[in-house]
Amino acid sequence: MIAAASLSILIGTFVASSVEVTEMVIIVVGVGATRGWRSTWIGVAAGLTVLAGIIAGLGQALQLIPIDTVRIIIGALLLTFGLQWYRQGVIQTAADGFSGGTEEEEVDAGPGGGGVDWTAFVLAFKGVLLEGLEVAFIVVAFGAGGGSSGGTGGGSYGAAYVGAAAAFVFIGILGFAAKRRLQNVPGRTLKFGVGGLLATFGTFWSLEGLGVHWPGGDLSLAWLYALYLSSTFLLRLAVRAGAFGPAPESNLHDPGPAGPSGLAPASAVATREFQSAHGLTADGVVGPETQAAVRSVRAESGGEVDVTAVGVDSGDADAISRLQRQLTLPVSGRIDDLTRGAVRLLQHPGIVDPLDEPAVGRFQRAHGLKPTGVVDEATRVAMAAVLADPGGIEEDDGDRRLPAGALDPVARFRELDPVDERSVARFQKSLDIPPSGDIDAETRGAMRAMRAWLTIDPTDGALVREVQRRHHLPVDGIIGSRTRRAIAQERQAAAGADTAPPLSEPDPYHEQSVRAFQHRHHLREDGTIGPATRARILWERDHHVSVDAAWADSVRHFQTQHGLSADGIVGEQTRAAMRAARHEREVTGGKERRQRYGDDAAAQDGRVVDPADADAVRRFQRRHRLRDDAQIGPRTQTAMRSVRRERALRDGDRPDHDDRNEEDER
Amino acid sequence: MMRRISDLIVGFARFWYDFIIGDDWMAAAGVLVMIGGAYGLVRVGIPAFWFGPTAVLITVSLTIRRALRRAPDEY
Repeated sequence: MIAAASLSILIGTFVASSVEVTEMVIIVVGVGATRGWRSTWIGVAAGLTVLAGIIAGLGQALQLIPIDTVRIIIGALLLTFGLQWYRQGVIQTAADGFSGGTEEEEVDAGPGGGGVDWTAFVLAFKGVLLEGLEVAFIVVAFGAGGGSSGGTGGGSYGAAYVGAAAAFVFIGILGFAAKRRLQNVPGRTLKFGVGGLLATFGTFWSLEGLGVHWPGGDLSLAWLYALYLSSTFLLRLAVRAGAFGPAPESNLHDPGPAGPSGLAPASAVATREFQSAHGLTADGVVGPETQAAVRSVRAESGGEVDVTAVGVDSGDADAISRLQRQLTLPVSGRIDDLTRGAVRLLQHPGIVDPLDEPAVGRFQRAHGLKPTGVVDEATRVAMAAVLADPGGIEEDDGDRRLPAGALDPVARFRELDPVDERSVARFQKSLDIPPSGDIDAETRGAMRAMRAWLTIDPTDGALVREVQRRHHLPVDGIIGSRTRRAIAQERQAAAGADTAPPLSEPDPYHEQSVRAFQHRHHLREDGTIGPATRARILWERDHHVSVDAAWADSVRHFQTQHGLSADGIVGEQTRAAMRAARHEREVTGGKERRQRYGDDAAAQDGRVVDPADADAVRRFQRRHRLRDDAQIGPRTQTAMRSVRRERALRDGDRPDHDDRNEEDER
Repeated sequence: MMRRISDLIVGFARFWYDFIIGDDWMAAAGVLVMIGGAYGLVRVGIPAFWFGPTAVLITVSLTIRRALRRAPDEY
């Protein structure tokens, strides 16, 4: 009997909550698809947090909340905002139709960079809070109605909780499915529809809060929305006929010099041109606003964005995120320089990511193979052939012809040395990146993508079979869906297992590491391994036994290497070890070093003061009003760094400016 | 510090102004009229569900008219 009562409460709560949760999900999905997902999710999380706080704080006293007042306020705000979009939608679609225009014409600019779009946040927050409260009321009402079990944790409440939770899960899943479909709807149509939705919910809630009886209850939302949408067509006709004043002219932007497809994310220049032509900030990053513009232009031209050919649609944040995940890049959904480098890699005709089934299919079709999307032996052979000879292109490098295979990015990557300008330039050339020889963000992106791709080189059947063995899959060397998943796992594991480079060198794959290195050596902190940084790395590499006494961790590193107690302080023992190491180095290659740097290597070790010379350290300490104990501890190290910093400011960014011994300068 | 706080307050106020008023105050005014009118109808016992959508559509028409007369080129 009790079980039957609980079941009826569970079903009742589920059905009633589903209505409210559906409304919540519609708003969230509509706002997310229109304004971008990041801020919308933040709004949802904030709404749920506040809701949880209210429920936890009030419990059954929840019913004391003046829900009607909340309905009026939230409804009025949604309606006011929705009307703005609704109006703009009518005018713009009257001028340009449903598929054209750019987002920037229609709404205020979203967030710049990684900021929060407060409009999306507020809309999602309000929707979640109000509907969440309604669900909470339903739970309390049904739970209390069940009565006899007593207490919020009792049987009736338990059944009510389960019913509400089930509604959240069920409708949430449907919402996710809808989210994917909405991605293909042109931005203007979407915004127009969402404007109507906000107006619908706003009208309904605010009047409901006033005590207005809606015939059919929540079902009125359907006819209300239908009424608003159908009125649009009449209003558009009236606008076109000039009933409201001068009819608006179509002002769709010219697609610009880049053509209707508009945007190749692999080119920062093309991106900037596109952004300028569409009134966007020309920062070269394909973020939400630029993506919206790409979608609009594409929808208007009815064409394809050319980059779909390499597996990433620049107007589709989810596709970009997918690509970033595939290649173990930071997932931002935006095409920045790092991602651009990765796209460069995928644009090479021989580099096909086996994790991207459609890309494999396209490659197969282009090479006369059956487009299965599965990397089999024939596909593998074709890939390897194209990789070694990309389309039979005969490249001239100035006067001389490039040797065969010179544009094989895999071979160029394998010989890549971050401090060898020529090897970096060759790698860049193989991927059509301007061959500067510097490791900038774009080159770093290509390197990281290449490293991910090479984790399991799809052209190497033996490697693929090895993965299959490790993952207990049928060992056939064919990359189908299960092997694809295994490769993705291997890539993630490989990216996560990055080993730190030697203390004296930056990790070229990580901008932060390069910046930290540059900071330490007072170089310009741009994260690029350019000439100055390269020279410094070479110097460090050449003096691998040297120690930078101004930094405790460098001293510790040296101490550890030499079996000393790693306290980070240059005392007598450490000093003796430094002298010994230096002597050894002099024996092994001092002359060559002196020729290379034209300086005294011993003095270079100290940069500011030779740490191996106790008297020099004492003199330095006296000059800087420190205790002259010849120990290079934290205070002396701070003084050394500050002298170095002053010199850096004075002398500019030369890598060797602080290598002179202060003693020599005096 | 004070400047930062005042910037925050101004930014907050500007956000809500843009959210509610936007580029035409008439939409917000229309919503207020709708709520006031519906409240009146409820008080005197007349069904008011028809009043909301009617007020909304009238408001939209008026704001469209204003927008096109003011700056048709903006659209």
